[in-house]
Amino acid sequence: MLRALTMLLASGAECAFETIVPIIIDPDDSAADKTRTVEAMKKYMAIREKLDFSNPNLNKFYKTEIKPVDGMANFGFPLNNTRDCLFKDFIKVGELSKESRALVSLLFSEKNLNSDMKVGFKGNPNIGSVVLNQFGTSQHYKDFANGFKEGDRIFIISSIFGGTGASGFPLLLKTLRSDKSSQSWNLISNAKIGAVTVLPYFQVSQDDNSGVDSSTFLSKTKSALAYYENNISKNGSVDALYYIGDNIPASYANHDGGSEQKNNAHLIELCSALGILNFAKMSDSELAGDTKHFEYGLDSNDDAIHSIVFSDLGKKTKEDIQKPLTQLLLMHKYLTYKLHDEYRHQPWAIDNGLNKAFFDDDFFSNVQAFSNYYVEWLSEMSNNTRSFSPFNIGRIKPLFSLINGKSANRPWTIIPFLLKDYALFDNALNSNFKKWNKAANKEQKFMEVFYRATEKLVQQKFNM
Amino acid sequence: MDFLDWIYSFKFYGAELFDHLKGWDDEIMDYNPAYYQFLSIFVSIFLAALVIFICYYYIGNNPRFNRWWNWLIELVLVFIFAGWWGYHVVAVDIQNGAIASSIVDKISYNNAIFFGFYNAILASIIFILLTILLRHWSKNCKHSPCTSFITKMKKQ
Amino acid sequence: MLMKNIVSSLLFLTAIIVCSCTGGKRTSNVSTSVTDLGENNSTTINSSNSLPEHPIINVYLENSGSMNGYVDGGKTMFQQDVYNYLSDVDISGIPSEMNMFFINSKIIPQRDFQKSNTISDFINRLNPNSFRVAGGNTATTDMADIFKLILENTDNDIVSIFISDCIFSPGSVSSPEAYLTNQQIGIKENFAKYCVDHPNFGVMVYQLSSNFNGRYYDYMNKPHQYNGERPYYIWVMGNIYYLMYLKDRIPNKKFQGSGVQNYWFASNFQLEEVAYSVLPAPRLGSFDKVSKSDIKNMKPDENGEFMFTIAANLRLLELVLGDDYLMDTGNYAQLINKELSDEIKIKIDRNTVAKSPATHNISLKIVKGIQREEIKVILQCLPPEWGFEMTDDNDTQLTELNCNKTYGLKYLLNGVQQGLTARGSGYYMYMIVNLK
Repeated sequence: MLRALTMLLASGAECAFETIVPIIIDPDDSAADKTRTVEAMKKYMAIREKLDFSNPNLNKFYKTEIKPVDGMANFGFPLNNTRDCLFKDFIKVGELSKESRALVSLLFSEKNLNSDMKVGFKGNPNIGSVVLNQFGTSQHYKDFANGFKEGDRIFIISSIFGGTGASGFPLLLKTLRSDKSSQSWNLISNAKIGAVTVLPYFQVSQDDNSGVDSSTFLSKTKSALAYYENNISKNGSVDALYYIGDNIPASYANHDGGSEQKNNAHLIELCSALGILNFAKMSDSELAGDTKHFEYGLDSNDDAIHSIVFSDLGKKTKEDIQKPLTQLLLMHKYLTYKLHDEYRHQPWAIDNGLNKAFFDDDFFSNVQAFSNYYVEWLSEMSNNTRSFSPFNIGRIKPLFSLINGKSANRPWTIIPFLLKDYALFDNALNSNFKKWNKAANKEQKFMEVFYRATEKLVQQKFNM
Repeated sequence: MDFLDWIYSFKFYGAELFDHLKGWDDEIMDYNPAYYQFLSIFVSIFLAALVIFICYYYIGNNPRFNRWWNWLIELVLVFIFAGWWGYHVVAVDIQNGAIASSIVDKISYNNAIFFGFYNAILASIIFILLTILLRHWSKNCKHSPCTSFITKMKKQ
Repeated sequence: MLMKNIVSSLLFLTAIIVCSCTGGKRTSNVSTSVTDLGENNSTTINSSNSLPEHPIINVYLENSGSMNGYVDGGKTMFQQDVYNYLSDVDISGIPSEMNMFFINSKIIPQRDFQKSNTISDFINRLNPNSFRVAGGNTATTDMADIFKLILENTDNDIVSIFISDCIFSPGSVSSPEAYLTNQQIGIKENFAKYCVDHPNFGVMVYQLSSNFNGRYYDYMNKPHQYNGERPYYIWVMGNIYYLMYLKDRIPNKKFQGSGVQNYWFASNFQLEEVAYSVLPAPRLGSFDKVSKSDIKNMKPDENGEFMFTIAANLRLLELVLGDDYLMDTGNYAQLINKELSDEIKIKIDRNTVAKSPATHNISLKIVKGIQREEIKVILQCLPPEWGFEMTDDNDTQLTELNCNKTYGLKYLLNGVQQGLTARGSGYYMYMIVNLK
């Protein structure tokens, strides 16, 4: 979901937070999903570092800052003693008394005790709830707490049917609300906290050698929901709780972790990310009182709809994501298919000094790389079940038939047959934009011109 | 008209043709302002260059046609039109016997060809001047055929 | 069309005010207009003195003994040609009256004739006897005195026609050359004095030929019998307005018999304006024409030669001077920056361009380097070449070689030319071209 959030923020989706500080709690350092999410966020940071969002700049691409907690490498909250260590060694079963050992054997199966935790808890929240108790005492938590300021909010993302997320969410919430070891414990305990808990939306193939069994997802979900009801919702420890899931699950290969656990992006993750944006927009007064509960639904009468486009989304969601996602995709298409033919000739590049040196430089490499991540993310969603395929991703021309289910306007021009597709794009890029910051650096100008041009195009072509 | 006389004063197309176009009239043994053709010829080629310039830079103004060779095509169009027009004006006069008897023997279709060529060069210069002076406000083509000097100055 | 141009030109001439001589200026009060080449604007010049439309024409026939061989009661070519001419004059409608006179040492009036048949009468009665009976000194001829008498009886409204063989009679003087020179000076003086009060005065001289049978007297006044062709002269003197009219009405081709052998016109007038313009061609080298009379940026051709051509409307001068005079480059002079110069070669051609009002093209070739300068071309009043060719130095014996010549003729013509040009510019017109 962090990946989806990163993509949304990169596209310029409105976020009331100025800064997002992701903290990934996952013992599986090599998880492919985590790795590529971290890569994307690093690219995001590298790009944003060169940009300026003060007046008169209008660019919203990469506007929201993403940064890690100081000292936290790769956004990860490291868990001690989970590598090359079996659970039984973690709890030091061998050192326990006989009575304690007996209790342990009641709580944990042999399989549980012999689990190695380097790829996570493999769908066993009972393990996670023990291991993750180290939150409040870790130095990294203290670093996070020291950086927490008044007005900051916390949003917890977790799956209800997994291991790490299911166990970590209530534990983390408890720590946040009750820990008094840090200097800012008061700010944290009184901060607005939101959470999204993801119900099952995929299943994995049956594999007896794997620790993950999707047939247990529902039962785990039920028991977790009951727990949340009594221990989270009723006591108001979270201000907003978002639920999301899907009854037509996607099917993934059964990898319990590591570099092979690479699931395609799903609409559920995107919608979960929307929960964060929604939480950010809500004022303190709106969040006051009992826990607010939210569910997500599509604007479609067809429960079995398999291929979702923008028109199937609710009006609010469309307003939030349609324009920015389209803009970012337009930019990607131009950078991929036209840039190298045109930048030497077009005023938008020449006037702003965007020459070969610029396009060979690291900044542009990062932009191009992130752009590819973005398209990869869109492709995965469109190939998933249910698919979210709002765009014709691979089509080069005609450029403005890129939105599925929505045709482009054909505004009247003097020479209509000459100014279309990428020519129209260049025409927009070459616009004489008002209130242009002439003193900005090249990276800022580059991003600014593409933002303004794509904004103009989506308005002109799609009335967005 | 002194300016126009000067512009057309490089008489490699024929001194007598120059006199004819300047309005030589045997009846008054002097240049007759009513027969002065340099103004109409110059205005025609200036307008042609201007129209093609405006079409290229401001009406067409297409980001796909802002290469140097697109500009060259426009220049060639200007060249061809002005060359043809210059030739045509003189050829019609020759055909209609509208040249003064005292100089008609010294003016032939060859002179018309040379004058057309002269006109074409002139129109090309006009087009180039228009390009240098007035292209900077073109949205998509202002760096055609080369980077605008205003941009170069700003970069310095 | 030609008449229209001539009348316009004549009217213009009557309006010419400027006289190079001092003294009163007389100009016609007839409304005049000037039509310049290619321009439709006119100038109207009025004067206080009037010039009648029809002058009195007095005809003076020399009745000295040398004229006897020309007359024989109307049968000679002389008589017929003179009769023809005077008739043409009479019927031209120009004269208000014509009076016939004999002249030698004095003027001997004949009857006033109002009608043309009286001219016939006058002519038919011309014979040696009537010459003798008329009186005066018929033995010798003092040309200077004769012209003096005639000029005394000529005025702005009187035209004099003098018919004579124009032979000087030095007689037994010790130096015939000195005599002739003195005659020339006398004639010059007479004409010069006349010109003081008479601007726009001109002289037309026709040399004709007739059969002659009788005695002629050589320069020593010795008689010789001769039967053959001999020249004689008709002089028409008066205001050039009338002369032009007469010349126009009676062109040379109207003279019968053997026709006009030679012709000369001289006058003290100068054309105020000549319509002229530098042409673009023909030329050598190149230049830019600034105005009708200014050029600039002169460059020689590959041979280093520079030439330009002026087209001029000399219709008026052509009428009185004749095309031969205008076409003779010897009658022109070139001045560079007001100094006479021989560094400009001149060539005259007729202008054959149909629409052009110009009659002649004057080409000027500069043989030295081109500089910024003022070039002035003038058409001079000069004695005719034929005057020298037709002068006999020794008429004691008439042969085929000298039978058509006249003794001392050049002294006569030179004297007239000198007298006419004594007080004026000496040229009929000028054209200035500025090389800038």
